[in-house]
Amino acid sequence: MTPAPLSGFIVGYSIIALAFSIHLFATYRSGSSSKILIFTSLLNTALSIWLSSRLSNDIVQGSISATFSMLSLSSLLASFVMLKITMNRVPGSS
Amino acid sequence: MSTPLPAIIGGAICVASLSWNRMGPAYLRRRIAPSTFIIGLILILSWDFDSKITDDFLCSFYDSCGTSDLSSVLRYTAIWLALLVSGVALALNGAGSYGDYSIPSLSVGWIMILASVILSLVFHPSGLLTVDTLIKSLPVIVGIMIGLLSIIGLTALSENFEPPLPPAPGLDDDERDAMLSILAKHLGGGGE
Repeated sequence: MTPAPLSGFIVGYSIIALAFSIHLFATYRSGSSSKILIFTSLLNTALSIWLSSRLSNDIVQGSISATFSMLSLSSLLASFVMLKITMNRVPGSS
Repeated sequence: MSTPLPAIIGGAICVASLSWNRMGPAYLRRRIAPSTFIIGLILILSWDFDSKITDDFLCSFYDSCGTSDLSSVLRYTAIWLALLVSGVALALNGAGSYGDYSIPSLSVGWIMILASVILSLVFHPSGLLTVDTLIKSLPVIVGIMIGLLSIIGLTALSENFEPPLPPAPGLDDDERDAMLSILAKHLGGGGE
């Protein structure tokens, strides 16, 4: 039984490893892409996916769900950034 | 459509299209990135959100069935994120960052941003954000950070073990035409 924090860690690690492998394949260009990087990235992704496939389904879903919930704070952050941009660009403000 | 497989494929397509979007305008892949991203989004949203994810193949895949609010959280995230991105684009445009100062565009943009903030923070399917949610998400965020560090390590490793790559191959005819049209559009129009 994997502890919940470790499970969450593996989930986060797997997500970024998979996204990087997809990125490498999507931007592949013959003669320009590093074969060692692609191979090591695929190995890294396969290992992390294998580890995450052994985790409890509830913990995996709970971790992803909590992360998406925390993502909602980014809307608040974005609104502060947009407020600063809007205030800086009001005609006659500078 | 009850299995999340199309949604997973859609997510992968979205990641690929975002990568293509960073490739530069000369590449064909860059030019089809926006439409591919929309296809990915459609695949994600085509997932029947009323069907719990644990009723699908993932249940047997992980050999642990139960209930989860993941599908409703994903749906809410898609809605407030779409509102936020559209609102920010409109507000940036109206604030004069990418065009003339425009009160209507700015107003509509801000209404959408505020709606996104309210939707994401107040009407969240799991209720208001709690310390428990923060604690549960921390290991995932740490995992993402460590994953990014490992990517930097892998890149450094591959650069050390591989001889320097030859210069990138030249652009093909289509890519050259695309570059010429972009240059002509930006440099040749006003005699500047």
